[in-house]
Amino acid sequence: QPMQMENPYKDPPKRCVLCGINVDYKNVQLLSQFVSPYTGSIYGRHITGLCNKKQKEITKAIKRAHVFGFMPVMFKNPQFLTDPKLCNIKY
Amino acid sequence: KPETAAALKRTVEALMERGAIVRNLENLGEKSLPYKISKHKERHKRGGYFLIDLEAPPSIVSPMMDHLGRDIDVIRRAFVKHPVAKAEGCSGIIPASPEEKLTARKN
Repeated sequence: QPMQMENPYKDPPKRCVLCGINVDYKNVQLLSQFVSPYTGSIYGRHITGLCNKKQKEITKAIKRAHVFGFMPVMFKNPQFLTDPKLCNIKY
Repeated sequence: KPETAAALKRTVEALMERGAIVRNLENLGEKSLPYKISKHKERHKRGGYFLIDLEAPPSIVSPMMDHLGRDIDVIRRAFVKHPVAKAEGCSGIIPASPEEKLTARKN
């Protein structure tokens, strides 16, 4: 008789880009990668491709960085314009 | 530079007076601010960033914010809780089951 077991060929759960990384309001470079360079608005989940928790953490950290004076609000810091692209967006 | 040192000393002393234990003081450097900030009748473009690691009762927060608000050398003040490392790590994106997608949700 066939033995009941869970699917052994299952792929490991897909990890988002920030899966092991600690998000901090101080590292403006990481935060700026999820912000539009033209308007400074935060990208949504369908663009960044992050899991629930990480998206929420990033949003909170970005808002904090805005208030505390670490990150500009209306645009992206020109220093970080040439960073590698993490978001699925076409300009 | 002696002014910043004096301002820091004032702040730390005020904190210790109210019973806070200062663990560490980090200088995050002096940079130009991301946007011009008007504070105490002046438009500021450059500022020094300092991070004070401390342990204190929560009743300190409001009087300290008051105190720092009255200090002319302080442009922007804030208290942040220590980020607690979560017990379980990020387990990855779990695809939502079709039943979840059919039930009505707040989102």
